[in-house]
Amino acid sequence: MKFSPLPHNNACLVTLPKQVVMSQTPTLRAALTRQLESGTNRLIVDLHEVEYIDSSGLSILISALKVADKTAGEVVLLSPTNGVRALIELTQLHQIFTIFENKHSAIEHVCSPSAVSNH
Amino acid sequence: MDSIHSQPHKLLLVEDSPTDMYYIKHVVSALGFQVQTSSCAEQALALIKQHHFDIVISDWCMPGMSGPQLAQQLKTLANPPYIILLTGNNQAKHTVAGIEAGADDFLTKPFNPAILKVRLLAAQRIINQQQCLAEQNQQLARSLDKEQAYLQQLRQELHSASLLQQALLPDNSQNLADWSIASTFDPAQDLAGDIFQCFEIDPSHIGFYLLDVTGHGVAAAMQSFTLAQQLSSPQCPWDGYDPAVIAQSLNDNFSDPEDLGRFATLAIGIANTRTGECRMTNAGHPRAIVLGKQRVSQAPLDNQLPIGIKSGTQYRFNTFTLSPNESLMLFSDGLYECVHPKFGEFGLQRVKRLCQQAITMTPAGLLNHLRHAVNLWQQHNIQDDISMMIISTQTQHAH
Repeated sequence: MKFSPLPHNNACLVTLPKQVVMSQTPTLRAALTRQLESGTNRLIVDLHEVEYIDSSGLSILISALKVADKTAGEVVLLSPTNGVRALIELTQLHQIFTIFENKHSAIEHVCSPSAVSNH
Repeated sequence: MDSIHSQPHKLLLVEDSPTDMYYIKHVVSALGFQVQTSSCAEQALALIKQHHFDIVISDWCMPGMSGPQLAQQLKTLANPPYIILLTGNNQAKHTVAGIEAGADDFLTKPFNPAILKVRLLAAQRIINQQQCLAEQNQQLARSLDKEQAYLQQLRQELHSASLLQQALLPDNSQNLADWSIASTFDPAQDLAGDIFQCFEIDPSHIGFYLLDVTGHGVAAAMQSFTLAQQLSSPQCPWDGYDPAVIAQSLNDNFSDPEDLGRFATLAIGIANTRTGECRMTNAGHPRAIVLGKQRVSQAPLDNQLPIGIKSGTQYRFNTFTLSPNESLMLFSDGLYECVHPKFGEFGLQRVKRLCQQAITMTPAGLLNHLRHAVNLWQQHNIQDDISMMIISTQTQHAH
Protein backbone atom coordinates (compact mmCIF):
# COMPACT_ATOMS: atom_id res chain seq x y z
CA MET A 1 0.00 0.00 0.00
CA LYS A 2 1.37 3.41 -1.05
CA PHE A 3 0.24 6.77 0.32
CA SER A 4 0.78 9.86 -1.84
CA PRO A 5 -0.36 13.11 -0.21
CA LEU A 6 -2.28 15.53 -2.45
CA PRO A 7 -1.91 19.31 -2.34
CA HIS A 8 -5.26 20.35 -0.86
CA ASN A 9 -7.93 19.55 1.69
CA ASN A 10 -5.98 16.91 3.66
CA ALA A 11 -6.38 14.65 0.69
CA CYS A 12 -4.35 11.57 -0.13
CA LEU A 13 -4.11 8.99 -2.88
CA VAL A 14 -3.80 5.41 -1.63
CA THR A 15 -2.71 2.68 -3.99
CA LEU A 16 -3.80 -0.80 -2.97
CA PRO A 17 -1.58 -3.80 -3.76
CA LYS A 18 -2.22 -6.61 -6.30
CA GLN A 19 -4.03 -8.82 -3.83
CA VAL A 20 -6.34 -7.60 -1.11
CA VAL A 21 -7.40 -10.73 0.72
CA MET A 22 -8.33 -11.86 4.19
CA SER A 23 -4.80 -12.61 5.36
CA GLN A 24 -3.77 -8.98 4.77
CA THR A 25 -6.92 -7.14 5.76
CA PRO A 26 -5.93 -6.39 9.39
CA THR A 27 -2.67 -4.70 8.30
CA LEU A 28 -4.19 -2.78 5.42
CA ARG A 29 -7.17 -1.72 7.51
CA ALA A 30 -4.94 -0.48 10.33
CA ALA A 31 -2.81 1.56 7.90
CA LEU A 32 -5.87 3.15 6.30
CA THR A 33 -7.54 3.90 9.62
CA ARG A 34 -4.35 5.47 10.98
CA GLN A 35 -4.17 7.70 7.93
CA LEU A 36 -7.78 8.77 8.32
CA GLU A 37 -7.44 9.41 12.03
CA SER A 38 -4.34 11.52 11.54
CA GLY A 39 -6.48 14.10 9.75
CA THR A 40 -6.33 12.92 6.14
CA ASN A 41 -10.04 12.40 5.70
CA ARG A 42 -10.33 12.69 1.93
CA LEU A 43 -9.03 9.59 0.24
CA ILE A 44 -8.76 8.36 -3.31
CA VAL A 45 -8.37 4.60 -3.19
CA ASP A 46 -6.55 3.64 -6.38
CA LEU A 47 -7.56 0.12 -7.41
CA HIS A 48 -5.82 -0.11 -10.78
CA GLU A 49 -3.20 -2.56 -9.49
CA VAL A 50 -5.66 -4.78 -7.65
CA GLU A 51 -6.06 -8.10 -9.45
CA TYR A 52 -7.96 -9.87 -6.74
CA ILE A 53 -10.02 -8.67 -3.82
CA ASP A 54 -12.27 -10.80 -1.61
CA SER A 55 -15.18 -9.74 0.55
CA SER A 56 -12.99 -9.11 3.58
CA GLY A 57 -10.88 -6.90 1.31
CA LEU A 58 -14.01 -4.95 0.46
CA SER A 59 -14.68 -4.55 4.18
CA ILE A 60 -11.53 -2.37 4.34
CA LEU A 61 -13.10 0.07 1.91
CA ILE A 62 -16.32 0.10 3.91
CA SER A 63 -14.59 0.67 7.24
CA ALA A 64 -12.58 3.51 5.66
CA LEU A 65 -15.82 5.04 4.39
CA LYS A 66 -17.43 4.76 7.84
CA VAL A 67 -14.44 6.41 9.53
CA ALA A 68 -14.35 9.18 6.91
CA ASP A 69 -18.10 9.78 7.28
CA LYS A 70 -17.63 10.54 10.97
CA THR A 71 -15.28 13.43 10.16
CA ALA A 72 -17.26 14.64 7.13
CA GLY A 73 -14.55 13.23 4.89
CA GLU A 74 -14.89 11.26 1.70
CA VAL A 75 -13.56 8.06 0.16
CA VAL A 76 -13.70 7.63 -3.60
CA LEU A 77 -12.50 4.73 -5.74
CA LEU A 78 -10.29 4.99 -8.79
CA SER A 79 -9.90 2.68 -11.80
CA PRO A 80 -11.06 -0.73 -10.57
CA THR A 81 -9.97 -3.59 -12.84
CA ASN A 82 -12.69 -5.70 -14.45
CA GLY A 83 -12.69 -8.42 -11.80
CA VAL A 84 -12.81 -5.92 -8.97
CA ARG A 85 -15.54 -3.94 -10.72
CA ALA A 86 -17.61 -7.13 -11.05
CA LEU A 87 -17.38 -7.76 -7.31
CA ILE A 88 -18.19 -4.11 -6.53
CA GLU A 89 -21.27 -4.39 -8.72
CA LEU A 90 -22.30 -7.73 -7.23
CA THR A 91 -22.13 -6.25 -3.75
CA GLN A 92 -23.71 -3.02 -4.98
CA LEU A 93 -20.95 -0.92 -3.46
CA HIS A 94 -21.17 1.50 -6.38
CA GLN A 95 -24.29 2.74 -4.59
CA ILE A 96 -22.20 4.11 -1.74
CA PHE A 97 -18.87 4.91 -3.41
CA THR A 98 -18.17 7.38 -6.18
CA ILE A 99 -16.00 5.60 -8.75
CA PHE A 100 -13.63 7.50 -11.05
CA GLU A 101 -11.95 6.16 -14.16
CA ASN A 102 -9.66 9.13 -14.54
CA LYS A 103 -7.04 10.07 -12.00
CA HIS A 104 -7.19 13.80 -12.74
CA SER A 105 -10.96 13.95 -12.25
CA ALA A 106 -10.60 12.09 -8.97
CA ILE A 107 -7.90 14.45 -7.73
CA GLU A 108 -9.87 17.48 -8.87
CA HIS A 109 -12.90 16.11 -7.05
CA VAL A 110 -11.26 15.57 -3.66
CA CYS A 111 -9.10 18.69 -3.86
CA SER A 112 -11.69 21.19 -5.07
CA PRO A 113 -12.73 23.70 -2.36
CA SER A 114 -16.43 23.08 -3.04
CA ALA A 115 -15.94 19.44 -2.09
CA VAL A 116 -15.19 20.39 1.48
CA SER A 117 -18.36 20.35 3.49
CA ASN A 118 -19.26 23.02 6.02
CA HIS A 119 -19.00 20.82 9.13
CA MET B 1 34.18 -14.39 49.78
CA ASP B 2 35.00 -15.51 46.26
CA SER B 3 32.10 -17.88 45.85
CA ILE B 4 29.60 -16.45 43.34
CA HIS B 5 26.77 -18.70 44.28
CA SER B 6 24.78 -18.20 47.46
CA GLN B 7 24.89 -21.92 48.19
CA PRO B 8 28.46 -23.34 48.27
CA HIS B 9 29.19 -25.57 45.30
CA LYS B 10 29.94 -29.21 46.12
CA LEU B 11 33.37 -30.33 45.07
CA LEU B 12 34.85 -33.84 45.01
CA LEU B 13 38.61 -34.15 45.15
CA VAL B 14 40.06 -37.42 43.78
CA GLU B 15 43.75 -37.77 44.69
CA ASP B 16 45.85 -40.79 45.69
CA SER B 17 48.73 -38.82 47.19
CA PRO B 18 47.86 -37.84 50.81
CA THR B 19 50.13 -34.75 50.77
CA ASP B 20 48.65 -33.38 47.54
CA MET B 21 45.18 -34.20 48.82
CA TYR B 22 45.81 -32.26 52.03
CA TYR B 23 47.25 -29.27 50.19
CA ILE B 24 44.49 -28.98 47.56
CA LYS B 25 41.74 -29.56 50.09
CA HIS B 26 43.11 -26.70 52.12
CA VAL B 27 43.12 -24.36 49.11
CA VAL B 28 39.63 -25.17 47.86
CA SER B 29 38.04 -25.14 51.33
CA ALA B 30 39.41 -21.65 51.79
CA LEU B 31 37.56 -20.67 48.59
CA GLY B 32 34.24 -21.63 50.18
CA PHE B 33 33.61 -24.97 48.49
CA GLN B 34 32.01 -27.83 50.31
CA VAL B 35 34.71 -30.46 49.79
CA GLN B 36 34.64 -34.26 49.91
CA THR B 37 37.63 -36.41 49.12
CA SER B 38 38.30 -39.80 47.65
CA SER B 39 41.63 -41.59 47.22
CA CYS B 40 40.72 -43.53 44.08
CA ALA B 41 38.54 -43.16 41.00
CA GLU B 42 36.40 -46.25 41.77
CA GLN B 43 35.36 -44.88 45.14
CA ALA B 44 34.77 -41.45 43.58
CA LEU B 45 32.44 -42.99 40.99
CA ALA B 46 30.43 -44.72 43.70
CA LEU B 47 30.14 -41.44 45.65
CA ILE B 48 29.03 -39.48 42.60
CA LYS B 49 26.28 -42.01 41.88
CA GLN B 50 24.86 -41.27 45.34
CA HIS B 51 25.33 -37.49 45.59
CA HIS B 52 25.49 -34.76 43.03
CA PHE B 53 28.78 -32.84 42.77
CA ASP B 54 29.18 -29.59 40.85
CA ILE B 55 32.93 -29.94 40.33
CA VAL B 56 35.34 -32.90 40.31
CA ILE B 57 39.08 -32.28 40.58
CA SER B 58 40.90 -35.49 39.77
CA ASP B 59 44.53 -36.53 39.59
CA TRP B 60 45.70 -38.01 36.29
CA CYS B 61 47.66 -41.06 37.45
CA MET B 62 46.14 -43.24 40.13
CA PRO B 63 46.28 -46.95 40.90
CA GLY B 64 43.33 -48.59 39.16
CA MET B 65 41.11 -46.28 37.10
CA SER B 66 42.95 -43.19 35.80
CA GLY B 67 41.71 -39.58 35.80
CA PRO B 68 40.80 -39.53 32.08
CA GLN B 69 38.93 -42.84 32.46
CA LEU B 70 36.98 -41.37 35.35
CA ALA B 71 36.18 -38.28 33.25
CA GLN B 72 34.93 -40.50 30.44
CA GLN B 73 32.55 -42.32 32.79
CA LEU B 74 31.33 -39.10 34.40
CA LYS B 75 30.46 -37.48 31.08
CA THR B 76 27.94 -40.24 30.39
CA LEU B 77 25.84 -39.10 33.38
CA ALA B 78 22.67 -37.09 32.75
CA ASN B 79 23.94 -34.11 34.69
CA PRO B 80 27.75 -34.45 34.63
CA PRO B 81 29.96 -32.39 36.96
CA TYR B 82 32.56 -29.88 35.76
CA ILE B 83 35.83 -31.82 35.59
CA ILE B 84 39.34 -30.46 36.16
CA LEU B 85 42.18 -32.91 35.59
CA LEU B 86 45.53 -32.47 37.35
CA THR B 87 48.61 -33.69 35.61
CA GLY B 88 52.28 -33.72 36.40
CA ASN B 89 52.90 -33.90 32.71
CA ASN B 90 52.96 -30.82 30.57
CA GLN B 91 52.71 -32.63 27.24
CA ALA B 92 50.31 -31.60 24.52
CA LYS B 93 49.24 -35.19 23.82
CA HIS B 94 48.08 -35.52 27.42
CA THR B 95 45.98 -32.42 27.08
CA VAL B 96 44.36 -33.79 23.93
CA ALA B 97 43.67 -37.19 25.53
CA GLY B 98 42.15 -35.47 28.59
CA ILE B 99 39.87 -33.20 26.59
CA GLU B 100 38.78 -36.11 24.44
CA ALA B 101 37.89 -38.00 27.60
CA GLY B 102 35.59 -35.16 28.57
CA ALA B 103 37.58 -33.02 31.00
CA ASP B 104 36.59 -29.34 31.09
CA ASP B 105 39.91 -27.94 32.27
CA PHE B 106 43.54 -28.82 33.11
CA LEU B 107 46.08 -27.88 35.66
CA THR B 108 49.73 -28.90 35.64
CA LYS B 109 51.29 -29.88 38.93
CA PRO B 110 52.90 -28.24 40.76
CA PHE B 111 50.56 -25.25 40.53
CA ASN B 112 50.25 -21.85 42.05
CA PRO B 113 47.13 -21.70 44.34
CA ALA B 114 46.13 -18.42 42.65
CA ILE B 115 45.87 -20.28 39.33
CA LEU B 116 43.65 -22.97 40.85
CA LYS B 117 41.54 -20.21 42.34
CA VAL B 118 40.86 -18.42 39.03
CA ARG B 119 40.19 -21.73 37.27
CA LEU B 120 37.62 -22.57 39.93
CA LEU B 121 36.04 -19.14 39.60
CA ALA B 122 35.68 -19.77 35.86
CA ALA B 123 34.14 -23.17 36.64
CA GLN B 124 31.65 -21.53 38.99
CA ARG B 125 30.63 -19.03 36.34
CA ILE B 126 29.92 -21.82 33.88
CA ILE B 127 28.02 -23.87 36.45
CA ASN B 128 25.90 -20.87 37.41
CA GLN B 129 25.14 -20.11 33.78
CA GLN B 130 24.18 -23.73 33.18
CA GLN B 131 21.87 -23.68 36.19
CA CYS B 132 20.35 -20.45 34.96
CA LEU B 133 19.79 -21.94 31.52
CA ALA B 134 18.31 -25.10 33.00
CA GLU B 135 15.86 -23.02 35.06
CA GLN B 136 14.88 -20.94 32.04
CA ASN B 137 14.44 -24.11 30.04
CA GLN B 138 12.15 -25.53 32.68
CA GLN B 139 10.13 -22.33 32.74
CA LEU B 140 9.85 -22.39 28.96
CA ALA B 141 8.82 -26.02 28.99
CA ARG B 142 6.21 -25.26 31.65
CA SER B 143 4.71 -22.35 29.72
CA LEU B 144 4.84 -24.38 26.51
CA ASP B 145 2.89 -27.13 28.26
CA LYS B 146 0.39 -24.53 29.43
CA GLU B 147 0.03 -23.03 25.96
CA GLN B 148 -0.35 -26.43 24.41
CA ALA B 149 -3.07 -27.37 26.88
CA TYR B 150 -4.80 -24.07 26.12
CA LEU B 151 -4.49 -24.62 22.38
CA GLN B 152 -5.84 -28.13 22.78
CA GLN B 153 -8.79 -26.75 24.73
CA LEU B 154 -9.42 -24.10 22.07
CA ARG B 155 -9.30 -26.76 19.38
CA GLN B 156 -11.86 -28.82 21.23
CA GLU B 157 -14.07 -25.79 21.73
CA LEU B 158 -13.79 -24.88 18.06
CA HIS B 159 -14.68 -28.43 17.19
CA SER B 160 -17.80 -28.42 19.36
CA ALA B 161 -18.71 -24.98 18.02
CA SER B 162 -18.44 -26.32 14.48
CA LEU B 163 -20.69 -29.26 15.37
CA LEU B 164 -23.14 -26.79 16.85
CA GLN B 165 -22.97 -24.73 13.67
CA GLN B 166 -23.63 -27.77 11.50
CA ALA B 167 -26.56 -28.72 13.71
CA LEU B 168 -28.14 -25.38 12.80
CA LEU B 169 -28.14 -26.28 9.12
CA PRO B 170 -31.19 -27.84 7.51
CA ASP B 171 -31.83 -31.56 7.60
CA ASN B 172 -31.69 -32.75 3.99
CA SER B 173 -34.22 -35.50 4.52
CA GLN B 174 -37.01 -33.23 5.73
CA ASN B 175 -39.99 -32.63 3.48
CA LEU B 176 -41.12 -29.05 3.32
CA ALA B 177 -44.74 -28.56 2.40
CA ASP B 178 -44.19 -31.21 -0.30
CA TRP B 179 -40.96 -29.65 -1.52
CA SER B 180 -37.51 -30.89 -0.59
CA ILE B 181 -33.99 -29.63 -0.19
CA ALA B 182 -30.45 -30.83 -0.63
CA SER B 183 -27.46 -28.96 0.74
CA THR B 184 -23.72 -29.10 1.35
CA PHE B 185 -21.57 -27.04 3.66
CA ASP B 186 -17.77 -26.86 3.57
CA PRO B 187 -16.25 -24.37 6.02
CA ALA B 188 -12.77 -23.01 5.18
CA GLN B 189 -11.82 -23.23 8.87
CA ASP B 190 -13.61 -24.97 11.72
CA LEU B 191 -16.15 -22.21 11.81
CA ALA B 192 -17.77 -20.55 8.85
CA GLY B 193 -19.22 -17.13 8.12
CA ASP B 194 -21.84 -18.90 6.00
CA ILE B 195 -25.16 -20.08 7.34
CA PHE B 196 -28.35 -21.19 5.62
CA GLN B 197 -31.71 -22.68 6.41
CA CYS B 198 -34.97 -23.76 4.80
CA PHE B 199 -38.12 -24.51 6.79
CA GLU B 200 -41.85 -24.71 6.62
CA ILE B 201 -43.75 -21.53 7.53
CA ASP B 202 -47.18 -23.11 7.07
CA PRO B 203 -48.49 -26.03 4.99
CA SER B 204 -48.27 -23.99 1.78
CA HIS B 205 -45.21 -21.79 2.36
CA ILE B 206 -41.54 -22.32 3.00
CA GLY B 207 -38.96 -19.77 4.02
CA PHE B 208 -35.28 -20.00 3.10
CA TYR B 209 -32.12 -17.99 3.33
CA LEU B 210 -28.38 -18.27 2.74
CA LEU B 211 -26.08 -15.65 4.20
CA ASP B 212 -22.36 -15.08 4.08
CA VAL B 213 -20.61 -12.83 6.59
CA THR B 214 -17.32 -11.20 5.47
CA GLY B 215 -14.36 -13.43 6.18
CA HIS B 216 -14.45 -16.73 8.01
CA GLY B 217 -13.36 -18.01 11.40
CA VAL B 218 -14.67 -17.26 14.86
CA ALA B 219 -15.71 -13.60 14.53
CA ALA B 220 -17.52 -14.22 11.25
CA ALA B 221 -19.24 -17.28 12.75
CA MET B 222 -20.43 -15.30 15.78
CA GLN B 223 -21.86 -12.68 13.45
CA SER B 224 -23.63 -15.30 11.32
CA PHE B 225 -24.99 -17.01 14.47
CA THR B 226 -26.46 -13.69 15.58
CA LEU B 227 -28.11 -13.14 12.22
CA ALA B 228 -29.41 -16.73 12.11
CA GLN B 229 -30.83 -16.32 15.58
CA GLN B 230 -32.78 -13.25 14.50
CA LEU B 231 -34.03 -15.16 11.46
CA SER B 232 -35.19 -18.13 13.53
CA SER B 233 -36.78 -16.06 16.28
CA PRO B 234 -40.58 -16.34 16.62
CA GLN B 235 -40.68 -12.54 16.25
CA CYS B 236 -39.21 -12.77 12.76
CA PRO B 237 -42.17 -11.93 10.50
CA TRP B 238 -41.93 -14.85 8.06
CA ASP B 239 -45.71 -15.16 8.04
CA GLY B 240 -45.95 -11.73 6.41
CA TYR B 241 -44.49 -13.40 3.27
CA ASP B 242 -42.31 -10.33 2.66
CA PRO B 243 -38.56 -11.11 2.59
CA ALA B 244 -37.68 -7.42 2.09
CA VAL B 245 -39.11 -6.55 5.50
CA ILE B 246 -36.98 -9.25 7.11
CA ALA B 247 -33.84 -8.07 5.28
CA GLN B 248 -34.56 -4.54 6.40
CA SER B 249 -34.85 -5.51 10.07
CA LEU B 250 -31.61 -7.52 9.86
CA ASN B 251 -29.91 -4.49 8.36
CA ASP B 252 -31.27 -2.15 11.03
CA ASN B 253 -30.12 -4.47 13.83
CA PHE B 254 -26.70 -5.22 12.36
CA SER B 255 -23.83 -4.30 14.63
CA ASP B 256 -20.18 -3.94 13.78
CA PRO B 257 -18.75 -2.83 17.15
CA GLU B 258 -15.15 -2.58 15.99
CA ASP B 259 -16.04 -0.65 12.83
CA LEU B 260 -14.30 -3.29 10.75
CA GLY B 261 -16.62 -2.66 7.84
CA ARG B 262 -17.96 -6.17 8.32
CA PHE B 263 -21.09 -6.98 6.34
CA ALA B 264 -23.16 -9.94 5.22
CA THR B 265 -24.54 -10.81 1.83
CA LEU B 266 -27.95 -12.43 1.98
CA ALA B 267 -30.33 -14.28 -0.30
CA ILE B 268 -33.68 -14.65 1.41
CA GLY B 269 -36.99 -15.83 0.08
CA ILE B 270 -40.42 -17.25 0.67
CA ALA B 271 -42.01 -19.75 -1.70
CA ASN B 272 -45.61 -20.75 -2.08
CA THR B 273 -45.37 -24.50 -2.57
CA ARG B 274 -48.87 -24.72 -4.08
CA THR B 275 -48.34 -22.14 -6.83
CA GLY B 276 -44.54 -22.16 -7.11
CA GLU B 277 -44.43 -18.39 -6.59
CA CYS B 278 -41.17 -17.22 -5.00
CA ARG B 279 -40.47 -13.85 -3.46
CA MET B 280 -36.80 -13.16 -3.02
CA THR B 281 -34.63 -10.33 -1.78
CA ASN B 282 -31.01 -10.36 -2.85
CA ALA B 283 -28.69 -8.28 -0.67
CA GLY B 284 -25.33 -8.20 -2.43
CA HIS B 285 -25.42 -11.97 -2.80
CA PRO B 286 -24.62 -13.99 -5.94
CA ARG B 287 -27.88 -14.48 -7.81
CA ALA B 288 -29.62 -17.81 -7.26
CA ILE B 289 -29.74 -20.25 -10.20
CA VAL B 290 -32.97 -21.76 -11.50
CA LEU B 291 -32.41 -25.35 -12.59
CA GLY B 292 -35.05 -26.10 -15.21
CA LYS B 293 -35.84 -29.35 -16.91
CA GLN B 294 -33.77 -28.36 -19.90
CA ARG B 295 -31.98 -25.18 -19.11
CA VAL B 296 -30.21 -23.33 -16.38
CA SER B 297 -30.75 -19.61 -15.77
CA GLN B 298 -30.15 -17.02 -13.13
CA ALA B 299 -33.19 -16.05 -11.10
CA PRO B 300 -34.56 -12.62 -12.10
CA LEU B 301 -33.38 -10.72 -9.06
CA ASP B 302 -32.35 -7.11 -8.53
CA ASN B 303 -29.24 -6.91 -6.48
CA GLN B 304 -29.25 -4.60 -3.47
CA LEU B 305 -26.78 -3.47 -0.83
CA PRO B 306 -25.48 -6.16 1.53
CA ILE B 307 -26.67 -6.22 5.14
CA GLY B 308 -24.73 -3.93 7.46
CA ILE B 309 -23.39 -1.37 5.00
CA LYS B 310 -25.86 1.46 5.24
CA SER B 311 -28.48 1.79 7.93
CA GLY B 312 -31.93 2.69 6.75
CA THR B 313 -31.54 0.92 3.39
CA GLN B 314 -34.95 0.11 1.90
CA TYR B 315 -35.04 -3.41 0.50
CA ARG B 316 -37.39 -4.75 -2.18
CA PHE B 317 -38.28 -8.23 -3.32
CA ASN B 318 -38.68 -9.75 -6.79
CA THR B 319 -41.32 -12.30 -7.67
CA PHE B 320 -40.90 -15.25 -10.02
CA THR B 321 -42.51 -18.63 -10.37
CA LEU B 322 -40.89 -22.03 -10.29
CA SER B 323 -42.64 -24.53 -12.56
CA PRO B 324 -43.09 -28.10 -11.40
CA ASN B 325 -39.77 -29.95 -11.86
CA GLU B 326 -37.76 -26.76 -11.47
CA SER B 327 -35.37 -26.18 -8.62
CA LEU B 328 -33.69 -23.15 -7.11
CA MET B 329 -30.01 -23.27 -6.18
CA LEU B 330 -28.60 -20.85 -3.60
CA PHE B 331 -24.87 -20.70 -2.96
CA SER B 332 -22.16 -18.58 -1.40
CA ASP B 333 -19.45 -16.83 -3.44
CA GLY B 334 -16.87 -19.37 -2.18
CA LEU B 335 -18.28 -21.70 -4.82
CA TYR B 336 -17.03 -19.73 -7.81
CA GLU B 337 -14.44 -17.31 -6.38
CA CYS B 338 -11.92 -20.02 -5.54
CA VAL B 339 -8.69 -19.57 -7.44
CA HIS B 340 -6.48 -22.08 -9.21
CA PRO B 341 -2.82 -20.93 -9.16
CA LYS B 342 -2.57 -21.21 -12.97
CA PHE B 343 -6.09 -21.09 -14.35
CA GLY B 344 -7.48 -18.36 -12.10
CA GLU B 345 -10.97 -18.09 -10.76
CA PHE B 346 -13.44 -20.99 -11.03
CA GLY B 347 -16.04 -18.48 -12.16
CA LEU B 348 -19.80 -18.31 -12.27
CA GLN B 349 -19.90 -19.32 -15.96
CA ARG B 350 -18.22 -22.61 -15.11
CA VAL B 351 -20.75 -23.22 -12.32
CA LYS B 352 -23.60 -22.61 -14.74
CA ARG B 353 -22.02 -24.82 -17.40
CA LEU B 354 -21.55 -27.68 -14.92
CA CYS B 355 -25.19 -27.35 -13.83
CA GLN B 356 -26.31 -27.37 -17.44
CA GLN B 357 -24.27 -30.50 -18.21
CA ALA B 358 -25.59 -32.30 -15.15
CA ILE B 359 -29.18 -31.16 -15.50
CA THR B 360 -30.58 -34.68 -15.32
CA MET B 361 -28.89 -35.43 -12.00
CA THR B 362 -30.71 -35.45 -8.69
CA PRO B 363 -30.13 -32.31 -6.56
CA ALA B 364 -27.86 -34.24 -4.17
CA GLY B 365 -25.95 -35.68 -7.14
CA LEU B 366 -25.50 -32.25 -8.70
CA LEU B 367 -24.20 -30.80 -5.42
CA ASN B 368 -21.64 -33.60 -5.13
CA HIS B 369 -20.63 -33.05 -8.73
CA LEU B 370 -20.06 -29.31 -8.15
CA ARG B 371 -18.29 -29.91 -4.88
CA HIS B 372 -15.94 -32.37 -6.51
CA ALA B 373 -15.15 -30.00 -9.38
CA VAL B 374 -14.46 -27.08 -7.02
CA ASN B 375 -12.33 -29.23 -4.76
CA LEU B 376 -10.15 -30.26 -7.68
CA TRP B 377 -9.96 -26.64 -8.85
CA GLN B 378 -8.69 -25.35 -5.51
CA GLN B 379 -6.56 -28.47 -5.11
CA HIS B 380 -8.29 -29.56 -1.90
CA ASN B 381 -7.20 -26.38 -0.16
CA ILE B 382 -10.50 -24.69 0.75
CA GLN B 383 -10.11 -20.93 0.38
CA ASP B 384 -13.50 -19.70 1.55
CA ASP B 385 -16.61 -21.25 3.06
CA ILE B 386 -18.73 -22.97 0.43
CA SER B 387 -22.43 -23.44 1.02
CA MET B 388 -24.95 -24.73 -1.49
CA MET B 389 -28.64 -25.43 -1.13
CA ILE B 390 -31.04 -26.69 -3.78
CA ILE B 391 -34.74 -26.25 -3.13
CA SER B 392 -36.80 -28.60 -5.31
CA THR B 393 -40.45 -28.34 -6.15
CA GLN B 394 -40.66 -32.11 -5.78
CA THR B 395 -40.32 -34.40 -2.84
CA GLN B 396 -37.13 -36.40 -2.80
CA HIS B 397 -38.70 -39.81 -3.38
CA ALA B 398 -39.94 -38.52 -6.74
CA HIS B 399 -36.38 -38.91 -8.06
